Amino acid sequence: MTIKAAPSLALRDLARRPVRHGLLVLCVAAVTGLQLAAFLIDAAGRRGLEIGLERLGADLVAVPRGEDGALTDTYMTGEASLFYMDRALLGRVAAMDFVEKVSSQVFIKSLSGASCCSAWSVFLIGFDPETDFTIRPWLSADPSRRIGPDQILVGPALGFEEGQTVRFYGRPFTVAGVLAPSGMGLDSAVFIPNRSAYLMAAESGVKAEKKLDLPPDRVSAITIKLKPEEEGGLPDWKAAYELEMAIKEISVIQPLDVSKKLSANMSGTLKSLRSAGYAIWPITAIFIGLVFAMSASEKRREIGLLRALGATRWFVFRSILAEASIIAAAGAALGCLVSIGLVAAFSRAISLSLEVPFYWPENSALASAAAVAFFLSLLTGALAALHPAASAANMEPYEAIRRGE
Amino acid sequence: MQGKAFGAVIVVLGLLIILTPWYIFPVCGKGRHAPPPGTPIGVHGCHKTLKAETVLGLVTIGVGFVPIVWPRKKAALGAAAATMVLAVLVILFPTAITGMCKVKTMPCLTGTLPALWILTFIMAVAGAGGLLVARKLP
Repeated sequence: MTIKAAPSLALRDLARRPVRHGLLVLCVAAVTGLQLAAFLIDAAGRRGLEIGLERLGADLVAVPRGEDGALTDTYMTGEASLFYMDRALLGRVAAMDFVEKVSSQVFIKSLSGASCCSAWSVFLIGFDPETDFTIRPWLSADPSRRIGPDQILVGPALGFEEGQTVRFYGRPFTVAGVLAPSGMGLDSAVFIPNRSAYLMAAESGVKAEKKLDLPPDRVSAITIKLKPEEEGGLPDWKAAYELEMAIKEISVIQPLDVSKKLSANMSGTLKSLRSAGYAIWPITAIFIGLVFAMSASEKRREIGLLRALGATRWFVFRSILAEASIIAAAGAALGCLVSIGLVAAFSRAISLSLEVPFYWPENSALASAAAVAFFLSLLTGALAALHPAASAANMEPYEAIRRGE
Repeated sequence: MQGKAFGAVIVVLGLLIILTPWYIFPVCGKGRHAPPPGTPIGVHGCHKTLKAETVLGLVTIGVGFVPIVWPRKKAALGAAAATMVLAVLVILFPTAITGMCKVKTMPCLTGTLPALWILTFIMAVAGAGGLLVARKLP
């Protein structure tokens, strides 16, 4: 009996009971898939946040006092948050000696049923093209290009093309550029020059179905670039504290706040996925062990005959272990493929429902995670079948044939 | 028995084709994405696809009943071939014929379309499985 015969014997045995072995494959697939899905969502969320914060470009963002939570939600989901503060605060922030530059943004929600986007509301962000240092760098081509008064920049998730005309509150705008994807909710926002935004609001009473109430002395957020520390600047946490102490009307958001929000949003889902995986893991291992113990008991006569024909204990042990390993490998491969496929297919839905940015992890990280999940599952299968394989291998040929009859 | 089981799988897939865009992963303005009462749903590109998928689902259910009622080789072969053609149509309608909405974050693109891709894949596999089942039937 050659050593090479063990895997082929294992394959023939597996084909004899497709339902039982199919169920085992599905159990292993579930364990592998859940663990890999948890990793993928975690890695994609963190990478999305990393890229999103880098693209944000501002060291700090000031909003009306108490609206910091709403702004982080907006950055994550792209759902419009509407809050306003006095434009005069822009000057007060700019006057702080650790601030290098500031720019204002004004948040608007488009009307439902706007001609651009069927019945969906689009988040419109007014920005100041003269002072802006956060939005134009996202332009996928030529970040330094001039933005005209009735031109807009659009997030890549909206599906608009350069040169297209879209209408908000009855005012037509031309798409001047499409921003590079960031994985953040702002990928589905439209950026309008502030001047046009205020003009659009002033004309909305006549041109739109509903008037937009937006006085020109109001802004929603102030993006802040700090001076480098060697030029008299402060670390962002200290600058945020100083600003909140000096100007009582504002709350200041640091990148760390957005990271915390991300962790909070993801923790529940990741915990559920991992717990489900950990719960199924021992059950699967026990299931594999029981099935192979049962199978070895059913095959007593066959094992006895094999041993009588000259098969070694090692051959019997190997063939049972090979069966378990084939099942575990098939399940792990299926779990990896299904998990990657489902997370990729529903990535936007996951991102929207968990309120986290989503940026597909690098191939190397994905490959190593899939490899770890695969080998852990393979190991589980092999270890679970160890005892039944050893028991079967230790059976005496005569006794096995007699008891198997 | 195998012919009937194949037919039952096709019937379940047909039901899923109908239920997915209406309730499981509803298109824009339907199911859990319906606007509050009194608010207009508006015109959505995906609603034509919703109608098309409903018809395709009904046809798939009809195809599934063929091997259940008449578990013979020819019937199962026909049903398997029809399932594969329907699988292609299920995905052609949202991607090429009737289309979906434009904005990539809308529910029809984030939920319904990926779910239809998965159903297409399962239908194609079921159709191929049906061809194997048909070979064993009288």
